[in-house]
Amino acid sequence: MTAPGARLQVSDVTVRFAGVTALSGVTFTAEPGTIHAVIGPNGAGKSSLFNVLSGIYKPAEGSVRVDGSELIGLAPHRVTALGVGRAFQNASMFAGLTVEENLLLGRHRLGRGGVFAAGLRLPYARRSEREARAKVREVAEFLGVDHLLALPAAELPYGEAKRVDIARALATEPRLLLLDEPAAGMHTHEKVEVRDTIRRIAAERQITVLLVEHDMGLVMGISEQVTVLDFGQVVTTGPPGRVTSDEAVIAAYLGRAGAAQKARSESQPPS
Amino acid sequence: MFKAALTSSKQARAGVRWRVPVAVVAGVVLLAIPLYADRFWLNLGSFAFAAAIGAVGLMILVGRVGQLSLAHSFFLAVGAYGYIWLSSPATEESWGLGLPSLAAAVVAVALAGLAGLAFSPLAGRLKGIYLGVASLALVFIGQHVLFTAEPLTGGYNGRNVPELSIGSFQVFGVEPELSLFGVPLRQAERGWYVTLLILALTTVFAVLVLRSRVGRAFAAIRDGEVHAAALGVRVARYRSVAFTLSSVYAGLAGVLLALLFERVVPEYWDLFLSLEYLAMVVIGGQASVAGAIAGAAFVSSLPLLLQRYSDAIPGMGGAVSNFGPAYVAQILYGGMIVLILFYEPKGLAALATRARKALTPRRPVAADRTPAA
Repeated sequence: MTAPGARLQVSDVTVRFAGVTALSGVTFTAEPGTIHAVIGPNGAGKSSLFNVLSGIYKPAEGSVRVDGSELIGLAPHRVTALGVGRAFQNASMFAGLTVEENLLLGRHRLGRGGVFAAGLRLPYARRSEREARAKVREVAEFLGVDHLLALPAAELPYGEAKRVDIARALATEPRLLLLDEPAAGMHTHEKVEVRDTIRRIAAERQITVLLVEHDMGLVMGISEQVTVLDFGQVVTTGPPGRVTSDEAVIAAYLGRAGAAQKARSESQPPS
Repeated sequence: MFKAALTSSKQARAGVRWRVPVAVVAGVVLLAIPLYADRFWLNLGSFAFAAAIGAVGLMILVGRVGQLSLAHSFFLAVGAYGYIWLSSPATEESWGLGLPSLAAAVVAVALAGLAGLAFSPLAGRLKGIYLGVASLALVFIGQHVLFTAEPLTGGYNGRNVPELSIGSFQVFGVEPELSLFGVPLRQAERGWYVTLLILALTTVFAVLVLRSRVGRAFAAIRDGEVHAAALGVRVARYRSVAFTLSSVYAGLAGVLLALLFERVVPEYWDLFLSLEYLAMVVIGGQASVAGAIAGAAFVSSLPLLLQRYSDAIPGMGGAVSNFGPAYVAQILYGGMIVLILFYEPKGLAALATRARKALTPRRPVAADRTPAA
């Protein structure tokens, strides 16, 4: 049912806010159907990058291509139409709606019918609504949130809201899924569930997953490629094993002094 | 948390159980009232039904999309004066197109919608209170035009509203004679039934729209516009759709009010009228269709009730006219808004939910132990 994952090419993306450079020449490629993580200390530019990728920020320079189509300059709803789905950092639900209605909003772009079609119950609008509900139930079952559908979204516990958020992003039928800290604030056993969920999304639906996450165990466990950002610049991109031993990455996380210390302890023979 | 969730899904089921019988009983009572009540009560009802249509329109914009509009009286006036202009024959001192009155009524409602659509570059881009301030301009422009464009509005003296008739059938008149169970259906009875029917149809339309993908897009914009956009909702477009829809409802209410008034004067369609409609929406609970209708009934009938019973209320009757019914009504619903915002922001709609809960027999406690997952 789903289109295969998209290739994401980010080239030379630079974002400036009133003189502060949030992103500077960021370049990397996420291959179709892979899990690609973006990590970095607080303030490294991860959230800015996600806002560029979902059309909220317009970068000063650079290009972002999804399977070759330029994304920069498109309004957010057109970015969604390009096949980019996004789950949010704080799992923000539309509080006045039920879980099912929240998921149905993921289908908004794929549905049909305006004011007149809805108010007069025209057949094509009713058919579109029926299809949307069926798809939403299917996505909800895939992520194990189907028992929550009738609940008001405002009553969801945090962990459940995060899963519903991912389900809502999946309901848009993305070819590229942006996950903004999916495991933030979760217990250990919930993190295991998140890890399995992300793996299943990439494996069973072949969707490209771009992941921002602080939990290194999670990132290194599931990602094929990791891009490390620091001060808005790419420090390195590579498989998890190589990234963790990269001097520049250690410097970014532990500070220059930490890296120097590590280098010293390695260069000096044990006495 | 699970327990709270369970309770609310139980409430939802209880709501469905009650809704059908309550609607049937209410419908029968509303249809039977003209057989028993006198002119005063029927006129009170007709005004309330007409106002309720306008209130539902404003509720969609304010309660569901989270926008503020102070221009509702402007769109009511477009409907009212649009109808007068389209249906009146032209004379030396006044403009008119002399269209058949039913066509004039339909076109007048469309005109109000077009006026709303023309405002959409602002209505789509501005958010919340900023739109409120911008819409204020429309009220002042409207008032200026109403007082100065004498050929259109009759100026200070106002202008008569031509009757609405379909063929020889006077919708709000007496011809031809009709009766129901021996009760003659004259102006007041017909006014009640016609406004009630139009209110019922427009309410069903509004409920269907609000339950659809359009209504969900509205609520998503209200609850988080950035996230709504990231899910593919065209925020500016839906804001202007809601504004246009609300101006169509206002235009329809304006046409009906004009027909009930029979003669309209410019000073009625001022900023204060917009505030009255906002009061209806707030008292009704802001986001509820039924609440907006109840709020409209309350706000529009309070001054009429106070007027009728002013002799029986100490200090209000007699020659002391600066403490009149309209003034007391304003103070009363002003006070009511304060109380509602403090103690029950979901307004009359929430009171109905509470009453339903109190009346629903409690299930045995064991039902609460059903596993949540």
